[in-house]
Amino acid sequence: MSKDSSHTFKVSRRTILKGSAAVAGAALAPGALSLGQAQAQDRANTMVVAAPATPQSLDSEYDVSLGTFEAVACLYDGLVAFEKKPDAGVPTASREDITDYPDKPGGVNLVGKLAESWEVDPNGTSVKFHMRKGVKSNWGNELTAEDVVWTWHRKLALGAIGGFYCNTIDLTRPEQVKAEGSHTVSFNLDNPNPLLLKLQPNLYNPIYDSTKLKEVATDEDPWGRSFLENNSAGFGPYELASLVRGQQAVYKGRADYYGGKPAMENVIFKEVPTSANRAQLLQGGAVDIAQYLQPLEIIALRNAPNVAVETIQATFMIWIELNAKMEPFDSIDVRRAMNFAFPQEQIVKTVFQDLASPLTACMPDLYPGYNDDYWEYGKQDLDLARELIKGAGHGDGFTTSLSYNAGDPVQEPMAILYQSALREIGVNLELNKIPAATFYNNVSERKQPMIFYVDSPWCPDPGYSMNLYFHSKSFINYSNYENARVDELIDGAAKTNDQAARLEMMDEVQKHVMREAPWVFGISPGYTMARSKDLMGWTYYTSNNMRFQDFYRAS
Amino acid sequence: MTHISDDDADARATNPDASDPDAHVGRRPSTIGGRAQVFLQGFRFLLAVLRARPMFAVGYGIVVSVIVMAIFAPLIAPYPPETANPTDFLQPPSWRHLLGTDATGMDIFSRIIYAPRIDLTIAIAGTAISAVVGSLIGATVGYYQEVGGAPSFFSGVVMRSADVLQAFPVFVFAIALVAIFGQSLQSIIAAIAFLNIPIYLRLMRSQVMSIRRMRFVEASYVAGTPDRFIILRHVIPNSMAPVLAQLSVNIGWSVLLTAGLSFVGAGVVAPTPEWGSMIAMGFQNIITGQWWPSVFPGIALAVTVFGFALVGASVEVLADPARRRALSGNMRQHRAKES
Repeated sequence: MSKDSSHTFKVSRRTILKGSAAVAGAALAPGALSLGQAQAQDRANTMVVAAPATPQSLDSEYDVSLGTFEAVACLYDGLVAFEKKPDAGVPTASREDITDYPDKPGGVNLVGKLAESWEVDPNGTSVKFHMRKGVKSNWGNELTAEDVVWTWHRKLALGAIGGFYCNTIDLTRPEQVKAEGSHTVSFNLDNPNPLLLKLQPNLYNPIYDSTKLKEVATDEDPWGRSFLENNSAGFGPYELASLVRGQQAVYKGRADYYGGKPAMENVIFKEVPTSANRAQLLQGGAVDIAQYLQPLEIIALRNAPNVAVETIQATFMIWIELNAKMEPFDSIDVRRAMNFAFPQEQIVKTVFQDLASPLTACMPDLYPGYNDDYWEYGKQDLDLARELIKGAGHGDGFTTSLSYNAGDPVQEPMAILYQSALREIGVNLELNKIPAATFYNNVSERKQPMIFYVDSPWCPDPGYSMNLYFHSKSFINYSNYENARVDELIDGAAKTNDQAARLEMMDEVQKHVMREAPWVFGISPGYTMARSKDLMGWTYYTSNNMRFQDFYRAS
Repeated sequence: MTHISDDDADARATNPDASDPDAHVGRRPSTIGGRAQVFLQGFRFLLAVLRARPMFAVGYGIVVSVIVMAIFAPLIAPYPPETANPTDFLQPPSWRHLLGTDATGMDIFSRIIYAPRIDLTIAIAGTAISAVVGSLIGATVGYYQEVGGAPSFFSGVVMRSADVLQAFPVFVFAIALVAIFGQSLQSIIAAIAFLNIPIYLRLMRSQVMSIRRMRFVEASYVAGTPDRFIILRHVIPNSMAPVLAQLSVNIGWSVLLTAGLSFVGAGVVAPTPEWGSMIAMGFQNIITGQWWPSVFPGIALAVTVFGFALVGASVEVLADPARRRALSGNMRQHRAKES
């Protein structure tokens, strides 16, 4: 049997096994779907999504779990969004236009959402937004400048995810965001900041309905945190009809949405934890979209009738943090050796079935400023790796451990392939499987010598990306990487609006980082949309989530 | 099989096997020739039993094969069990890879051959520890259960603790133990031992409570023999039959538990060849048509557990004098019919 034929659905024995798996999957999935559920609804305006998880919270300040991304994207709107453009590789898809536009305000190509227009100060210290009038929240409250002010004050006060964004644009005091009238708001910084406008389209910078949240606030909870655990208060195209965690969330399109009622009036967001079950449900027509499928499932679904599967260039990055403050990874040569030994091409081919590309820089390849000239680890070179290890004083090799996430099916095979490669240069790699629930604690503790990490910077800017992962003071510099020159360049790039100078500085940062290799540069997986063939309109966002309001059913 | 002290006339008098023509296999002969003869007789008896109950033979065959496979794995396996080969990933069964390869190109046949080294080590070690510890506690508790005072109270406390322990769902409890002590071979063995201790404790206690009332024990006590000596020399050896019968069943169950723990990610660490871990690594591929990475280890696991269950069943029959007599009668009738 050829490898290709092994991916088809033709052999009767497989059919039996598949059928059993489907029945078992449907039976085991919480809130199991009857296969006719999607059909039973009005298909024209109802969409069923099989997702790995339902939202844990509806508060963008605290929750970054998978189901919450989609919830935030449909329940809330931001001030502006990136203009869309057709994707060059996937004709049926659109994507955000994140190219630099020096002639446009802030250098970015934006369209208004809650803001109708905006003015950027030429020196880059302030921006003024003129709000759309007559916009109503899901509680019927009209959007005003006060909603924007309150939302940003909340970020400053709570200091969680929003606090990070405030730091990024150097917004430190509440009075820096102020209402200039009922429908005009301004952001005023002490120093020029190139991200002041560029950060506004970020998924996690939505505007809250402050009228409602003030109503529900208490002395102990002045910012409505408890309320937002289970309710939304925003100006997005959907409202939450019901949420049963672990089973499903149901979203209902809002007829009074300023952009018009979404074509998919009802969205049923089902939790189906196992990707094989999600794939099976899509294949059987029980759902319209199956999220986060494994590469082999994606390949298999390509042959399924009534299913469209498209993989698009994305911002996902998978890498291994090498703890630069732990032996032997305090040595640059050892870190470089670990990169030369990494079987990147083989992993792309076997684990990802060519649905990914090698990670050839320390930022996504579709962002402005990306430069792969400093990429020297493309060809696995075990001899050079052995020499580097010997030169670093580890002639006989060493033993170390690689921690990986039990909840991510691609990490274990990646780790096994890497382990086999390292064995050849005398490095004994012990594998440490960590339950998904505690994995990110292990990452943030920075106590593991090597640990997988999957992330994507949600702002298409090289300065933002470099600051996230390589500034010595960044919270998510999980490899403990420290280089004074890199810090200086990142700080410098954060204080100028001269984009050409910034790109030059970030180029130098990439040069240092690639040379000093605080990561094992891994894989850049594509984003896959597996959907019913008649479901059209999908857009790829740099935050790697979908937005229900984009979809419509082909007649 | 019952062990009786030769020095104890009472023991002979109370030996339930005394009238059993096949019971000689349990007595200790005094000369080397006599021992050889007893061994031969025992072996012939075993062969006769296996002829009469062929499923027992299947069980012994499976268990012996699995043990031989584990011991000689490096000679039998055609590929190293933990070396990935990305150029050969997910190959279906073929002459080059008899049972195919998994998602990282490791040879499934080789890994199945190596897996009993881990599975059986864990199962046998865990079961042995639980049998020794459980039996000793059970014997002590049973011996002192009815003497009154502090020893009886202590026995009651031990039994109620065992009740509490057994009230927890076994698998969930095992996961919790491994989570507490860390994911290692030792932790899994400890978890299995801990979970099995109450089983042996109960078995031994009930046996000891009846043995303790026998005259040879009372005689020993009257002669001034210390309790410790009575328990170790007279009581435990005569109470071992149900424990021995339980051992094989428990080993099979422990193999299953080990595989279960590995399947949910709480067992051995990948890429250690272990059946449960192999099933976990391969089960997601079933839906895309690559059934072999999980189905073959599943079959190996099922067959092994079945083998130990059959051996357990045979020991249960052979260790029970009444059932052994019944079996002997059946065998004689069978031979008579044949002749």
